[in-house]
Parts: sequence; C-alpha cells; structure tokens
Amino acid sequence: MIHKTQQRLDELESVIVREQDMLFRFAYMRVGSREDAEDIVQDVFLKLFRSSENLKSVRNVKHYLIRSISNACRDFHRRRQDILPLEKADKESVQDDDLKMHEEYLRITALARTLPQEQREVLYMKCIDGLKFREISDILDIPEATVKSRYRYAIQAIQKQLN
Amino acid sequence: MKTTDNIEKILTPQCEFKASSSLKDRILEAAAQEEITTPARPRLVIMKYLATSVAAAIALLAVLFIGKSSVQPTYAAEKIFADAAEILNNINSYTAILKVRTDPQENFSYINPWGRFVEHTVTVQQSTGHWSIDKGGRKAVYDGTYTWQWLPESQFGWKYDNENIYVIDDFALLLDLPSLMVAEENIALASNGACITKTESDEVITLVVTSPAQGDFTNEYSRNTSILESDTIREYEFSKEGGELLSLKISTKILGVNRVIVEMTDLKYAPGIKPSTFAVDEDIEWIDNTELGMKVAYETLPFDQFTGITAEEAVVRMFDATSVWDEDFLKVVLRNMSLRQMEKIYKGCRLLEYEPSFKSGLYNGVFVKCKVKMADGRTKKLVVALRNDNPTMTWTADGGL
Repeated sequence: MIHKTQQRLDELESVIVREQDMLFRFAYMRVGSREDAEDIVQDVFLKLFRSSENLKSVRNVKHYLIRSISNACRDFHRRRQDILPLEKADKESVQDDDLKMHEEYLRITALARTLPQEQREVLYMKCIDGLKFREISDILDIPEATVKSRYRYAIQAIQKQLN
Repeated sequence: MKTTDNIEKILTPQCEFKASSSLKDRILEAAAQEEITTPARPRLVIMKYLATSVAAAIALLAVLFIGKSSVQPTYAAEKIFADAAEILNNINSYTAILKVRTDPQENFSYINPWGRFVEHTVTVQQSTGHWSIDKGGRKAVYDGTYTWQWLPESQFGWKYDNENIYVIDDFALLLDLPSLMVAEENIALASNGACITKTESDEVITLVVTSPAQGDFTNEYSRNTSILESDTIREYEFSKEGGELLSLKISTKILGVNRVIVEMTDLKYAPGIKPSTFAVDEDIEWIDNTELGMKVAYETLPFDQFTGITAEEAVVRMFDATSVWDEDFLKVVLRNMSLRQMEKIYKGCRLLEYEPSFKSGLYNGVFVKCKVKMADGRTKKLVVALRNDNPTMTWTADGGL
C-alpha cells in the first residue's frame, strides 16, 4: 500500500512539474492574483489525485486539468460574491516580482472584458493558452465549428474596438 | 485595420508566468496528507463536555470512544483494563515517555500524522495530584495551586487557578492513565464485546480498540489534527503475569495505512520524583488567567469591544487594531498570545478580505479565513481560530496567526 501511494505521488509530481506553469498562467489570467491562482491550481491537482487511483489511466491529463481549472475559475468568480470585501480593501496588493505579469493580466482583461463569457474563454484558450481549435473543442465539449465561430466573433469584436 | 494575426499577437502575454517555486511541494504535501479511503460511517452527535478535572476528561473519552468499530469479541477485555487501572491507582506516582507526531511548540492536543515524533515526558504524582508534561518547546505543570503552561523559548506562558486541563485538551487522556484504563473498560462493557480485539503471547496480552474520528466534519479543516478528531486504533500491551499496563500505541488511518501518532515507550511505576519537576521556569511573562487576574483585566481593558459581535466583526476589529497597534484592544483579543511576539509580525498588518466563519471537528470556537496585507506589503492568507466560550463571551484569537 505504501509503495502504491508513493508511486501515485511520484506520478503526481511528474504531472505537476510538466503542467504547473501553464495551469498557473491559465488561472492567473482569469482571477488576477497569484495566491488565488495557485490555490486553484493546488485544488485541481488534489482533485485529480483524489479522484483517480492511477493517474496514468486518466485520458488526456492535460485536457482534464484545463477543464477543471476552467470550472474552478468560474466557481471562484461565483464564490467571490460570498466573500466580504472590506470597504477599504487594498487593490494594490501585487508583489514587485509579479508587476509585469499583472500588467499583462490587466492589459488583456481590458481588451476582452466586453466579450460574452463563452467567446472570451475560446479567445483566451487560443491566444493565451496556445491551444488548437480541436483541443478547445475537446475541453469545452462543443463542436469544433462552434469554437471557430466564437473565436471569429471575438476577434471581430476586438478588431472593432481597436479600430 | 488590424489583422487576425495582429490581434492574436496583441492578446498573447508578453512575459513568462511562473508558479511559485514552493507550489509543487505544497501540492505534494497536501496530497500526502489526503486520506484516500474515507469509509462511510455513522458519527456520534456529541455535546462539548465541560470537564473540570482530568478524570472528567477521561469520562468524555469514554463517551466519545464508544463508536461503531470492527466487530470482534473482547474475551473479557474489560477485566484486563480494570486490573490495570487498579494497579495504576495503587501507586504513588508514575512517569512515561510518549512520542507524539506533533510540533514541539504547538498545543499539546495538536497532532500532525506526517510530522516527526516529539518526545513528551509525563510525570504524575498521584499522592498529591501534581503533574507535569514537557515536550521541549512547551511545558505544563499543575503544582497543587495553579496550572501553568509556557513556551520556554518565547519566555511566555499562562497561569490558571487550580487544576485546569483545558490547557492540555485531549492530551489529558494520556496523562491520567488509570482513568484511561477505566474509560476503555467502560467501552468494553458498553459495546458488549463489539470493538476490541485481543491477542496473547507467552508474556504479553495485547488489546486493540478501534474508533472513528469525533466531531462535525462538514468542513474537513480539523480532521486528523487531534487524537479525537482522527480515526484511531489504540493498542495496549499488558503483562500476562501481573496485569500491569506495559505500553500503548495510537495509530490513525491515513492514505489507507495505519500511521502511529502516539507511542508510549517507557512507563515507570512508582518512581521517585524530584519536587523540582513541578517548578515553573523563571523569567516567563505570564498571562494571568486566574479569577483575580481576569477581574483586573475586565476592569482595565475594553473587553466590551469584543463581546456581543460576530466572529467576523471580531476579526475586523482585531486587524483594525493591528494596523495602528492599539495595545488595549489587542490585549483583549490577543490575550492568549505573546503581544511582543505578535507585534514583531503583525504591527501594521491590515485586513483585505475575509470569508464567513465556519466550524470544524471538535473545536469549540470558529475559524475565519482571511487575507491580510503585512506592513512590508506582502499579502498573507490566514485561517484565524477564535473562541468566545468564556464567562463574558469575549472573542479571543486562539490560533492561526
């Protein structure tokens, strides 16, 4: 049993090493805070660890993780309504090391903020996360043609905004 | 007109996004602590028991440990426990070394199944009622007049009237071995032979008692953080010839394996005990929690500011006070902490946000998750433990800082 547990932890470690930065970027670009993004990434890895006796048996771990992170980010925004922000909540709580990253988050968020959520998600997955249409279709469980049309509408809306 | 390619380029982040170097270790540590097998089981509804003596705490143990467990015959296990209790009761004193997976400075009740063993020296003088526990980073003594608990390194401690077992929480279970034996005897009797197994060798009888974690785990935060809040397997060895207790071992089931969290290695019957065993260290800053000390505190400090409000409001007021370091306020809400130590860390700290309080396990207070900004600009997430189960129902921070 101990051997099996260690084996699972080793498998988990190799998945973390391979995917953590990509997943962190995915979450950060949707929640805008290092701590919250890392909490989400941690929760998703633990969910994966909990739900599967053998990580190798999970079909396409990367897609599984992205789908889970995407759902977790949506939950995060829903949950934010339950959190009680103080009136004097400090908005400038970004560490110096993260300033560049946060500027990118703010810049891209400002460009995409007017898009409908489903278009924005496709746009982010393609431009920020570097996924192919086929992969986005698999992750979101929608036809590839729908992915492409949402992407096209999103690009047109940004074009209009920039021009 | 911007082309699609140009738009894609604009939307591509122009810097690297790197997760913290500690993230991987944090995840792996949390994964290792995950309990994969969480068997469905009935949970006892318990009422927090206001014990006033070690014996009363053991009575609580008796109530709590009577759970549904593996069904095995006891073979008169109750008599073995009763005989061992009588032997222990008839000696003037005993000492024991207990190895517990915990942190040397943490509360005595705290366990960490993945932590290293910390040696605890337990001394009980039954003829006088005095006792002491020493785990290096934290000590507690009852000297017949007061109960003292202190952190030698921080030179900070608390003083209580009479014998106060709250200070050691469910470690009291391991301090009063005669009562522990009586409690297990009662379990053997009450469960009608349903939760104890027995094995024998030429010289030793081994009894194994199993019971599930106790408490409300709607929120899992407290699971496996104390003996009672863990699924436990308690293994006792007795001399076949004399009937005396020889050893005890407590395990908890984590990741599908039994992990030993407490092990008694050296139980001595009727040893000579030096009076200095029950002496407290010098140069300790004592928080006076005696009746007299509390009376003085109520008269001079703004206790009313932390009564009649919610736990969340108490957290807001606490961090309002840390931001300007209002000592009068902090002497109330941080009463059970070293203000000088807290000042080094939290002076200038401000609250950014907080979540609704929640309860977990057997803890008599609540937990409030919050995010704070330290004086140096770093943000920090905390889970502050607060309780107001005192005569004036004043909120005090109890941990998580």
